[in-house]
Amino acid sequence: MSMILFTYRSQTMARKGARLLQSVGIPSRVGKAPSDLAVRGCGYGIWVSAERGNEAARRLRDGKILYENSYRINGRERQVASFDLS
Amino acid sequence: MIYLDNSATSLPRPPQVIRAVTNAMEHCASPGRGSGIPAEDAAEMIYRLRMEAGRLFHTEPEQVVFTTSATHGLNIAIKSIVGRKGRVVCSGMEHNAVIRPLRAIGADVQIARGRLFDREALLRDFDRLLTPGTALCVMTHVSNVFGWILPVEEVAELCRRRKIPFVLDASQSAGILPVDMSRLGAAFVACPGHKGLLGPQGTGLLICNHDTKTLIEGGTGSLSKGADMPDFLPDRLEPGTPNVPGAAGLLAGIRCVRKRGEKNILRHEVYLRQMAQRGLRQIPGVHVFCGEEQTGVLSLVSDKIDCVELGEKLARQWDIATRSGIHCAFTAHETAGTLSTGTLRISPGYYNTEADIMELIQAVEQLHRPV
Repeated sequence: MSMILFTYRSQTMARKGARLLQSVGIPSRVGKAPSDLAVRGCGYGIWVSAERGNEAARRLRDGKILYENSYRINGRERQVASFDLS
Repeated sequence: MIYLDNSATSLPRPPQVIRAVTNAMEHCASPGRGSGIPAEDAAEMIYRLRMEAGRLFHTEPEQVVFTTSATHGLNIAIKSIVGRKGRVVCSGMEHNAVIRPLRAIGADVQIARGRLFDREALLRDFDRLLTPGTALCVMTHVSNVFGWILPVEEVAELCRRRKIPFVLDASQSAGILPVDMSRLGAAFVACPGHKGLLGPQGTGLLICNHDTKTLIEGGTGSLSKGADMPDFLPDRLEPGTPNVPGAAGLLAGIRCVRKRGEKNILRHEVYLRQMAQRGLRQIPGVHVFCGEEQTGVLSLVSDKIDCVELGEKLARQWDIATRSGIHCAFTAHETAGTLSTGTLRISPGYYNTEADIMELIQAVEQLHRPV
């Protein structure tokens, strides 16, 4: 299953983003960003399903809860690719 | 025991606060460190604290910094804005939590005076002193000695127009008076968690709308590969493991305050204070300090008994807790002319009743009877 990860330096902003997504009906989870994706160490992320990725990205940007980067992470193979709004 | 020292710290605390602290000690790990439910629960709880505080102060969660006290927050605020020997204007009611950091940095402190409870005189003096080149205006919302509600909105407006950063000490107002960060246009608002917000001691909040300088540095659970403190809030000002049980208690305290309503709490405290002042001023030799704009805090002096001795006797003979002396606010006593005597301060709170005040009046009256 594919997931979209939006990364943040700040856990507070990640949680703020998750709350925003929750308020518009987009389920998400906040967790630590994988080490290879937290370039400066110890970053955080909002995980959403790939199907809701575009919508989530738009909501976060419109809400000015700007993420550092976004990635598509595919299932077990853990293929990571940059995710851009389409 | 009758507790009338809520300006020092609220007592008792609501049962929800105590339960929240205990629950956190049993279930919460450290936020932003480990993986797993205990760390997640801690992180989620602290975020909710930021959200609730944000609602109370009309600000965003990320602008809410969790501190150990108002003093901690005021030190950050003052030292973020003022360099050595900067010109600072403050009121004549300030606590040492404002005066001492200013002294430590060698600031040129100008004190806006006026008689106690004379709002117009105070505003005129602020108007005179807030000149170009002033680095900062810092003032208390409510005097911890006299309960005087200072005209902070007007002073904040003066500062906005003259582009002078404004810092508010909300130690005695948070939880009973509205503090609207965005309306004030303040650079910082600092308050303790354990007074009007009913949380545990060792907690406080600093609401930030200005660049910040760190007081201490350390691990933040973010950007850990770098040697510099993060440049974003709240992480920048929150190194080290936070006081998680304290945060849980403070969250519960703020929820209690919001549920009951700041206006209702203030109304209750003012009612008790007015009852106390009516009864106490009937006692020959007792002088109370009252004004129009005043919270539940009341100070008195006695012609017959030293105020510290009076406080000790009330505690030992009647089990009534008050605070006597200078209240860590010598500037307030200078302004009021009570520096040589100090005052005895009564500060009713959330749980005090009319019966408590009646007993206080009777006790003071008995102590003033001729032997």
